[in-house]
Order: sequence, then C-alpha cells, then structure tokens
Amino acid sequence: MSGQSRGLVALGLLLAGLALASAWQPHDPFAIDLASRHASISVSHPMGTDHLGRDLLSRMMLGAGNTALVILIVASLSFGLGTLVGVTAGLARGLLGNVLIRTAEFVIAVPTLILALTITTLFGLSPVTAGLALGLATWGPYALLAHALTLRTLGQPHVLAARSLGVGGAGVAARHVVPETADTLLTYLASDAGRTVVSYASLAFLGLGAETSQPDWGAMLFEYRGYVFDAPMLLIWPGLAITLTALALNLALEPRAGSSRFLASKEA
Amino acid sequence: MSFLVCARRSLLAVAGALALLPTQAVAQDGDTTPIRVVSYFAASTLDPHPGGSGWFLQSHGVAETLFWVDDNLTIQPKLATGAEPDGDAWIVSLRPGVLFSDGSPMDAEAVATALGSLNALSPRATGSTGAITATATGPLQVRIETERPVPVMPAVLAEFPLIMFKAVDDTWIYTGPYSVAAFEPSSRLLLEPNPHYWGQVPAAPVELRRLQDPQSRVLAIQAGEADFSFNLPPSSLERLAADGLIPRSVVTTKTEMLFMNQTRPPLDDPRVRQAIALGVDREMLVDAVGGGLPATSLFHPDFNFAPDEPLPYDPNRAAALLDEAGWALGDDGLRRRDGEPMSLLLRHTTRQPDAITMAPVLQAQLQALGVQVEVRGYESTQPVLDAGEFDLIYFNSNTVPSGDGAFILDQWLRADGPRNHFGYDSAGFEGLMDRLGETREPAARNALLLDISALLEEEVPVTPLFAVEFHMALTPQLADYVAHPSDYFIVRPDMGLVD
Repeated sequence: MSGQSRGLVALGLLLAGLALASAWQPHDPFAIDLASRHASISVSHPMGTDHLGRDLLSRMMLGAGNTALVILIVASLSFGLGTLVGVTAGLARGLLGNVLIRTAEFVIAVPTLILALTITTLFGLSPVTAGLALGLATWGPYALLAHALTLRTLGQPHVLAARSLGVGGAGVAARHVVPETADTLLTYLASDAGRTVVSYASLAFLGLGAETSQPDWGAMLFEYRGYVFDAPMLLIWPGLAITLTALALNLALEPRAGSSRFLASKEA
Repeated sequence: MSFLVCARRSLLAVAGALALLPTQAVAQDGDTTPIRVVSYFAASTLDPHPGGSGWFLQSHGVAETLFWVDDNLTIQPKLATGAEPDGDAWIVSLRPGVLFSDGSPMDAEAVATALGSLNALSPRATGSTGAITATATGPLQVRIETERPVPVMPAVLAEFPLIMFKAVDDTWIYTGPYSVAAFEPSSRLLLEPNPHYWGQVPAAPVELRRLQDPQSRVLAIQAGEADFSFNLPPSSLERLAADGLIPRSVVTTKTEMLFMNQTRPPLDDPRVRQAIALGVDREMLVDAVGGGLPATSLFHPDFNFAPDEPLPYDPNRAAALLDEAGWALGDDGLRRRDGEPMSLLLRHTTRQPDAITMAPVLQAQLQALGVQVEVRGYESTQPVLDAGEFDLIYFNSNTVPSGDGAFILDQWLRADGPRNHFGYDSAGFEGLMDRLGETREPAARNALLLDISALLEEEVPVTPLFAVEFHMALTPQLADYVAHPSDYFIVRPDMGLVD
C-alpha cells in the first residue's frame, strides 16, 4: 500500500470513528441535571459534566459527528471542484483557461474565514452549510495544483502521442490527466483535512457552525468560554479534541517521499 | 492542576501589566488617585441627544434628570422639587441652588432650553409624550406641555433621555456629581468631582473603563487593576471572595422576557401561548443562570403595581391546553396536528452568556411538553424582530425605566407601539391602556396595572421569565457602596475610598 493510500485509509478510519462516536453516547447529551453541574471526572461521567449538568463525554461524542461530516463535505467539494476547474483550465487554455485560473486565484486571495463567514451568514447555520462554505472557500489551491499537473501531464511524450493519434480532450483527461494527477491531489487533500478541523471549529466558535445548543466542539468552546477559570476542563476537552484530531490527520496523512507518482517522478 | 494555577497566574500577570499603562496615565491627570471602575459599557459620546446617551451619562454620574427612581424603586424629585398638573400641562418646580459644572445656574430658562433641544433632536426623549413644549414661567418654574396627555409627569421626567444640560459651543455641560476630564469614546472616561454639585461632592475622581468581556472584568479586579467591577458572571463571585474582594449582587428592574410571535401558527392560538407560559419552569431558569427572581409579571416584584405571586409552572395544565388546541401527543413524544409536528423557532442573542445558558434549558422544558424547538442565536435583536423570523424570542430590558409601568406596555404591546413586533392587538388591553393614560391617582394606576398584568397572563403576548440579577465585586475600600437596582446609576457621588 502506498503512503498516499495509507493516508486515505487513515482518513477514512478517522471519519468512521468520529461518525460512530456520534451514533451512540453513554448519556443523553441534552439531559439537564442542575444538581450535577460541574461534576468532576467519574466512572459515570468520564469527562465530568458542564454548567447545566450535561454529560461532557456524550456531548463530545455527538460533536465528533459534525466534525466528520464537515471534513467529508469540505474534502469532496474542494477536491472535486478544484480538480474539475484545474483540469478544464489546463485542457482548454486560452480565454476560458485564463478565466478559470484567475477565478481560482481570486478565491485563494480572499481570506478563507471571511468567505466562509459570508456564505454561512447568507445561507444559515448548520454543519452542512459550514462545510459547504469552507469547501467553496478552499477549492482554489486544488485548482491551481490540478492546472499545473495537467499542463505537465499534457507535455509528457505518451500523452502527446495519444493526442497525435486523435484522442480528444475528454479522452486525454479521463485516461491520462486525472489518473496521473489524482495521487498528488489526494495527498494534498489528506494534508488539508487537519486545517479543515480547525477552520470549522473557528466558524463554530464564532456561532456560524452548529446551533449554540447543539454539541459541537467549536460551539462548545464558545458556550463554555465564560468558565475558563472556574471550570477550565469544559474548554480543555473540546480544545484537546480539535487539536488531537488535526494533529492525527496531519501526522497520519503526511505526504512522504515516493508517496505519489508526481513526487516519485520528480525524484527520478 | 498545578499547570492551571500557573497559567492563571501568568494571565493575571499579563493582565496586570497591560492595565498598568492607562492607570499611570490617569494618576498624572488628577490630583487624587482615582477610583477605578470597569463596566460593560462606556459613553460613546458626550452629546445628550443620541438615543442611549442619557443612560450612559447618568450611569457615569455626569448627568441628571429632574426626577429619578431611587434605590427603593420609588419616583423622587432630583433636579426638580415637584410637579403639579395645570390642565393638560404640568408646572415643574426646580431645586434652588443647582449649578452646572461650569458654575452657571440651572434655572428655568436653562431647563426650557434643554428640553427644547431634546424635543428637536432626540426622538427617544419624546417617545412617551410626543412633542414637548417647555416655557420658563418663573426663575425656578417651568410649564411643560406635551403633545399627548401625560398622567404622571414625574415618571416621564425620570426617563434617562431627559437629562438636563447646557450647550456651550460644541460641548455640553451637565449638573451631575462628576464632570468629564478625559474622554475616549466607548472606551474610557476620567471623571473628576464637580465642585459645584448641589449634593455631596464626591471625594475622589473616577476612572471608568469599558471591558466588554465578562472574564476580562473579573481579571481586572482580581489583578488589582480595578476597585469596582460591574456585571460579572455569578460563577466568578466565590473565587473573587476568596481573593479578599467583596462580591455583591442586586436584583434589577430588568426583566428577561419570552415574546411570542402570534402573526403565524401555532402561536396565533392563545391556548398554545398559555401552554408555553405554563410549561416554563422559572425557578430552574434562575438556578441555571445563577441569579434573579422568578417573574410575577413584567415588573420587578418590589414595585407596588406588580403581583406578589410568581407566575405558575404547571406542565399538566400546559399539556391539557395543547390537547385542547388539537396538538396530540404521539408515541415519539412529539405533538402533532393534522400530521404536522409542533415546531417552534426560538431565537436569542449570543452576546450575553446568560442568554446562551438559557437556550438549552428552555428547549428542554418545551420539548418535555412535546414541542420541537429549534434554537438559533443572533448577534443583534432588532433585525430579527424587524424580519419577524422567530416564533419565540427572549431578551431582557428595563421594564420600568422611570418608575411607572406604562412605558414598556406602550412601547412593546400597544397595537401601534413602535416595538410591537409580535402581532399583539387586543381590544381588552387597549381599553385598559386608554384608562391608564387618563388616570393620575397612584392607587388607581396601580390597580389598573395589576389588571393589565392579569390580562397579559391570560392573552400571553409575552411571558416574563425572571428579574435579572447583576453581580459585581469591590475592593474592601469600597465596602460602603450601595448598588442601585439597575445599571442606570453605577458611578455614585457617595462612592469613596475609605482607609
């Protein structure tokens, strides 16, 4: 299994783990029990309880599902849209290619969080909207990378031979460009997932992710920020979850030498 | 947890170092060490005309009104000594010996000029009365005519927009115990004692700083960079007391209210609104936010026109009302009518920690009735109200800003009230309000206001939740500070550092 494949498998496993955590919780994450507020760590409440006596572990587990959903949406959208635009621009060149690449550069120039804020404000609050917003704000680098790889692939002798034999643009894209650029793009995608976790947490912290009453790591940081000194564990748990997830994604999916055909060919 | 203690100490040290610079600057400005106050707001302008300016300046001890609501929640003369009806107009007698902070007298001409200027330039100042015409009828006597009849003029003249001032070129001079020596809009004021003050001249200057984040206000006083920190999270009080500071709490005239949008189903049905009101456990809400008094009506329970008994919590009666309205409880715990689940959109501000804490509690309480509740936060209340994008919306407001209950009712619940965004239009309510507008006798007004509270409990355009409690902390040198039950008088003339 190549490094890139291992990365994708790790990404899949992590997403599955997060999704599974949101499917079952030891307690009702919404159950309020004021008599048990700020309970310390125990067998019944392994992470303690919050200011309303809600079980923190259950809320963390439910929140994990939102993070998984957002990673999935952002990854699909930024990868899919970026690859489509980059490959099309590479194949089309001319005015259309220029317009597509300038558009991608514009998306890159706009700060991700500002663009995501605008989209989320316009279309409402939910992990899905936040995922779409982040995806639409982050496809630019994929497009530029896909464009560069496409141009490089189109210059390869076997691709030139195919074109001289009459293979059309769509055929070249399907048989040569996409397969030969996918490895590098997927490696970039894998390394980008950690950033997505932090970006989504930032949006949620600003109140633009899940509803404030919904368990969500970033939203929990927002909700519990008033307890930073009186009950710091309320912030430490979601902060730790965000940090460890981002770290795990970056470490597990870190591109290694020879992990893609592109890198391998560069080394050669 | 030693690393947490270290982190806290480091943060306190940083906060202390950061706060040192402005403190030193202030010490150079004044002759005496100022009392350092941190609050969640500071005046954005010294101009008396903009909407909230009167509140800010009065709260800072800079400006005063002719009447005021004292610490016992009764209307008392301040810059005036009394007011008597004169047909539909009122004759107001002014307190002798009152000077502006430049030493010039606040006489009838000055008051008439100030009221004329507010009438022309401050729509909020004329909100209760329509146009105001003030005429000096003697050295210390002003005749005030209003576009709409006013049954209780002292209450109107206690409203914070009606502060007394004198314009000199492009500056404004006031009568309060302090005058402004240095001013950074919405950030910092250095207030020095007004030597011409008609009452007790304050002993020391005050430096007031705005720190918007509640935890920053906690840190400021904990780090020794403030003598008085106003509006703190209740969870911090125990910690501050352990540090030798004096925590203090006061239940205010602000009421947290849950308004209901009756322009659309299902809250257009009064039985559903009644059920919502009965399904709210106010004791639990107060417990969750860490302070307050369960509401008996829209008004602070200590007002003599407020009912004594807290509003009832009766989930069984609430369930029966929903059944009666056709919302049957299903096996999944949700109520449905014609196959459609009852779903309500609950909106709240995300700027106040209490509002965020309350959302899941209200959601859980209503869901226990079988009502699905979607919670959505917002940054600013007014656009949400204007757009009508809510079924339920809660926020707090000072419901008795001038000692009389009519103000909030006129503004929020009259059919043509400027803040009635809820579609409330009740002939019974309008009739009672018309009678209230014609009644001057205090006991009769109180009786009418009690009738209105009873009617509102039945028709439920809004259900009051609780009287909001403010928390603060002081250094031992300010132990004698007496908190007013509002945020209208934070900096007070008798506030002084004692050895």
